[in-house]
Amino acid sequence: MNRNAEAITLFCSHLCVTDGILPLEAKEWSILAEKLLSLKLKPEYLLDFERQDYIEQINATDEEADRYMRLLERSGSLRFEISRYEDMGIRIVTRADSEYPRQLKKRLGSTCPPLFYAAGDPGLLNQATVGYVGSRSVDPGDVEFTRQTVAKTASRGYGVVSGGAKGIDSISASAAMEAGVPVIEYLADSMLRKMRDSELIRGIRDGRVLLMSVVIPTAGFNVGVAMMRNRYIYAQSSGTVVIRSDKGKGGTWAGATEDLKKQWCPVFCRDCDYPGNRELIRLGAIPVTDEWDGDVEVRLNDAPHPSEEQEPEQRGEQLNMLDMLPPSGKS
Amino acid sequence: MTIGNQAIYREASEILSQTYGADASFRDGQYEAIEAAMTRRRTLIVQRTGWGKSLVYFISTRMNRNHGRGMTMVISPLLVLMDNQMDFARKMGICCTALNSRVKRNSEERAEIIRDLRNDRVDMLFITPETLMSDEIQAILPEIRIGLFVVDEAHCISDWGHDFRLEYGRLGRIISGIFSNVSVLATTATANDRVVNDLKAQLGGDIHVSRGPLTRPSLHIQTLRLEGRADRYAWLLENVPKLPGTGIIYCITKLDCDVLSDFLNRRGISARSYNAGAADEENDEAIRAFYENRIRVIVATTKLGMGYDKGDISFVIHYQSPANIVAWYQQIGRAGRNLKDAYIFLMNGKEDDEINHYFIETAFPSRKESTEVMTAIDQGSGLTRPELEKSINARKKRIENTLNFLENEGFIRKEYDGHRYRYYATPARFTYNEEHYQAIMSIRRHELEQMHQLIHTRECLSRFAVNALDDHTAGDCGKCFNCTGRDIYPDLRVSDASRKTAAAYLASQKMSIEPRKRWPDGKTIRPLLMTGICLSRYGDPGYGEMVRKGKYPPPGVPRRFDDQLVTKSALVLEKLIWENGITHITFVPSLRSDLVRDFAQRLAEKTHLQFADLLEKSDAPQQKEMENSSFQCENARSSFRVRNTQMPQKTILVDDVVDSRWTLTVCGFKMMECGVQEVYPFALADSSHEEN
Repeated sequence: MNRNAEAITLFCSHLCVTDGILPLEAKEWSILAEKLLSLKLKPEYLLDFERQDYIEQINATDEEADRYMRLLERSGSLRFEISRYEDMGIRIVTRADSEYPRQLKKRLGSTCPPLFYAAGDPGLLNQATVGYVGSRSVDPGDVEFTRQTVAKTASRGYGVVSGGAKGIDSISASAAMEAGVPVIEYLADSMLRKMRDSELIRGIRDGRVLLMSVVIPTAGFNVGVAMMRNRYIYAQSSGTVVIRSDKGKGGTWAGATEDLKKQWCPVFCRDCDYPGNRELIRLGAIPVTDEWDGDVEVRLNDAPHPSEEQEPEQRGEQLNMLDMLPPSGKS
Repeated sequence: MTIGNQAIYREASEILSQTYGADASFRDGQYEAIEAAMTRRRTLIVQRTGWGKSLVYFISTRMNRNHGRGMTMVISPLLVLMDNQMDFARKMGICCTALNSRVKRNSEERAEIIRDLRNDRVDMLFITPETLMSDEIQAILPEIRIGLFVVDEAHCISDWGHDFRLEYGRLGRIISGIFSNVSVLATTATANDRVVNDLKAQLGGDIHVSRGPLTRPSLHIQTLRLEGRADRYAWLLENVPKLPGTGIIYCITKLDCDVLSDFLNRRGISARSYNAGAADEENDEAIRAFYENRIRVIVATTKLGMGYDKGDISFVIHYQSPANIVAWYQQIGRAGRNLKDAYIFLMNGKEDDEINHYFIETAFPSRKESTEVMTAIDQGSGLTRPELEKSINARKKRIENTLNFLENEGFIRKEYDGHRYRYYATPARFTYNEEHYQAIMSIRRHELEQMHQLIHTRECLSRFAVNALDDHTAGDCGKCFNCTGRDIYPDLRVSDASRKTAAAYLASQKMSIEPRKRWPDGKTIRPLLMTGICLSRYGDPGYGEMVRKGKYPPPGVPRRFDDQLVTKSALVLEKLIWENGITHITFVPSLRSDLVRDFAQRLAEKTHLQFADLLEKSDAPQQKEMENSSFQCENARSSFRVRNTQMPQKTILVDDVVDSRWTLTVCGFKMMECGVQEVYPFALADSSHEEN
């Protein structure tokens, strides 16, 4: 881990916490990072700060300084837990690492998470993907539509990005594996439980599957996190297909309507009688049917093209503070 | 002395003089190591026992705490924290405690230590790697602020080291990735260049190395060529009483420790055994008795080596030759810490190599074992250990080692499901790094060869040893057998009378056979066999050797157990027969030969018991091809049948060689199902492997 990554991990990881240890949330970290940037300091300097330095150099309050010190002081203990997960094939990817999903930085700006827990080849993040979202309970028609549609987008070279849950998520993932395209899953709960599946483990091992999560690998399900991870699916993909949505409630609905507002990527919606789907199409989602050819680029404004060139980044030195600010942000 | 930071120097010196008085000064290299630790560098100290490594981390701890920083965690394979070290710590105002498997779970003492840790009341914690990695301690880590890591006996984290341990391997990975705002101090008294370089690479970064001469001037060294147990016992019997003070005798196996200490006690030399097989309480008591000089000798496996600090040990004797000079030098380093002279004897003979080779060759699981276990886990979904034992025909211990190995290499992980651990594959692609393991094994073979060279050299033994540790500064010691040309202690000898005493004792050794109490699936075996007797250890001098010759005679000689074995067996069984009113002798049949039947018949004649042919064997693979309990038990169950005949009430059940005890247990069980009330197993020899 480079020193900037160490600092981000110490400030933001929810591993190794107990009463009195409050890791920074994405927004809090962004504010702190912005402050550092304005002082031309890198996060790694924080590693050597004493309590007084926080107060004098970055105008931290007493309370903040105590909170920061306590976060830094868990360094030795935290390393044990990180190492345990590393042995299991899970590692931390921070905004200071070149493996960090650049697409998220670009589209989500300061709201993108300071770090992810990841299992698999982060190189998959550079591949173009189509997102698939939908409810957990599905009927055979949904299954069939999902399989067919994934096959179509796969034949155009798109991998699948999904939420790793039951229902549409897992159906689209397995259809992608069958079609031989990569799968990225932004999980909302326990990565470890997911990793009991030997088929999935083989996928990760062979570089076909990547698991990403903002919550620690043992975390249970949390609605807020599930909502949040929908953003990553939209921000990661060249276009996201809604297979089945409730109307006015649920994660699928919330995610799709948010994207329609924020325009991270085009939203495609299965054109059928589900009230949720109807409403999403009315709100601007692009209707798709069995006839659809799977081309997500039709209405492409800012989604990346598969062949889009990657900017060179060097591990450990690429922490560009501006990356973390919202597109309109100034400092 | 190089002083890079005046403030650190002032503070460190102040603590030193508060502890030792105004005129105290740092020993060569001590201050530099403190400064490195205080400036958050990685530090490696390679210095001889007694150099004062602990002073470095005691002062560093004091300074960290003065500045409100986290506590010091000393990771050490130590056994008991010695009082003098505690006193030393207290003198410096350090609140210091130890946590290992001896501080019993759920005890008030342990609860209090945990409480103190969580409340940041402990300045320095000594902890074993096993305890540190336990779920219990991992769970409270978030509440502990760690300012300094000390890795004691750091050579253990290098798999090039003689004493590599799996838990240490994990520790190595943790330490090498530790965040740069925590100091790490690694110490060892025994590391050659290869290990030092490996440690430097593992600790990484800008590392400060403190390395000094390793010679221990107080040691007088002599090697003793003694073939066979009887001669070694005789030497100890005759010469230990002459030696001054207290000492350690190192043996390789647990059983050797127990038997030798029994022998010494019977002959008036107070001794206690210390080994991994004994209960913690017994080991603790042994250590205490030794520490307080209530016994003269502690007979120990290498479990007693590291972290043991008794200043007045005046002799260390190796009952067998260790596998390498580094390990040996470390063990003899326990002697003479606060004495002017200490005496070191290294017994050796050609039979020592067999066991050393065995440990070298089995250090890593084989490609076959690893692949089998890996494939099973990869294809299963959360296998448990018993499930693996059922599907893989390998020794339980080997499966366990293989699992540890695969987990340590990051190919598998385990998860507790509330009842037991389940094993899952990780995404890491399994590769068997044969070249690396072969390279390590070949180095260990080379090190064993170096040990032979030490035994046969005419050079100074002390210099030869430290040269092997890549310390080339030493001159001749002028004290060892090779330097002086005479015994290092006056009047050493072995008389024929002692030889006879030793031989008679060894010949009288018999062992009990505890029947199996549970089936492989964990269910209790009912009815249960009685405790029986085993005459010898297979292949051991005396009866053990006779058993081997009976089974595998030279070409042209028929297979038959010697009459001496019959006579001796009758003798050891006499009391058992008489006390329990045993009337019959039966035997475990074989399809391949009548060797055991013949022996049982002769034994029946000799003991005047009735010979009974009660069991029938069907065609089945040989039991010795079965490698673990599940396979052994299953094989035995399907191999034997009880004849339809009159059953006696009480019988002895004879077999030639006992290993897993499943054959005897299953045969006895089946006979009891058919009406026998008491079955007493008897075997001529025990061939079970012993692994420390």
